[in-house]
Amino acid sequence: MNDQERVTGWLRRHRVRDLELTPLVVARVAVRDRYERAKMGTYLALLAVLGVAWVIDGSLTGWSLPEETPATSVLAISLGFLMLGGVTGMVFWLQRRADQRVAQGLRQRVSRSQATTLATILGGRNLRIMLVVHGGGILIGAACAALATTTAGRMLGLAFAAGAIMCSGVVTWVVADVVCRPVVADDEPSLRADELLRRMDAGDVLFPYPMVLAAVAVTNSGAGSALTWAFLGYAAAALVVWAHTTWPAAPAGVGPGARA
Amino acid sequence: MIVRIEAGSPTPPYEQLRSQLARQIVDRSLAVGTRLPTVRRLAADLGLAVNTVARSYRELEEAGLVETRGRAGTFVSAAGERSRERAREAAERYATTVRGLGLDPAEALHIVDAALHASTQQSIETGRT
Repeated sequence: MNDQERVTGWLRRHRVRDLELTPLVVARVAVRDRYERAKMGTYLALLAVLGVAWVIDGSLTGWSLPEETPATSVLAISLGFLMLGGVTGMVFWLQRRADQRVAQGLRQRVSRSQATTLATILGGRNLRIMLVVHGGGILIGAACAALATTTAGRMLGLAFAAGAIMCSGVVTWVVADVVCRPVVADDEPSLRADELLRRMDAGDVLFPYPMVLAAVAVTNSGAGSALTWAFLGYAAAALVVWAHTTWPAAPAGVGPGARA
Repeated sequence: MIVRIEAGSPTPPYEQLRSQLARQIVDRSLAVGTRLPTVRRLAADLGLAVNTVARSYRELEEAGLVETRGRAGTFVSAAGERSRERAREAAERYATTVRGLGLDPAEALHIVDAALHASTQQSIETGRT
């Protein structure tokens, strides 16, 4: 498969229409397509390894899974998200190195002459929503842990708060890396493409993971309890605000006169 | 607004950067109070050494076009707005001198042109050494 075919396929899959295909943009999108395939391959390999471990379940190693409780379910899902985030971060890092190799051959480099912030790149509204969803998840978990009347409830609250912190941590790490990476552009169209690719990368990881944790907590904590309603309320609220985000094609307002 | 650095240009990178930023500040493409990228960020984006960008910023600051506000960053200075006024006052003084000397206006403009050219060349030479 040549670069042009890779790029055509990538643009179609991501429904990107307004990307001006300069030679630099084609090279970068081809790199991106290659690493996205590598990422999917890694995810599948991890799933296969976990599946095999689940089937063997310690019969050969003597190791066994802990007894399933709502708290362990939430923690297991959180660790899964942590692992996925780690893979995504590593793939972005490799992709960034490949981009830098492309950049070394450029005879001309361009950049914005004004500072860009997290909000101008990601869109201030989207950023606030993410802060509310992730911060809210941690607060709900902590509140449930503090106010629960049973040990199981406290454990579930603590597990949820720990999971939300893990998810927020990995999202912050990956997004910071995406936002802080150097621009790779040699003219204005490739600069706009760089900004679009940056937003798309950030959009890939800016998912409300605590919302999924809340759904797992709800299905495991038993219908009718106060904890169930707290997690259900949080999941519903997170879903509603998430539905109002516009990743990845948010008008992030990068550029002159941009306002978050 | 964008800045562009050409690797093969005879003009040193610090001067390419300084002159583009100065032009954008003077023609108000970069408004007063606009925060410039950090030295490290711009150096990484443009593939330059940190010292190169720092030198451009230092010269812009010496010219009164930008100001550094501690850790908050480097901002387009209000003094940048006054630079046009200062240039206009200097031009008025020059016009008075030219009139006093009885020089032809066209010749006076040639002298200004040559002086500007020499100043730019000197700046480039200084950058190379």
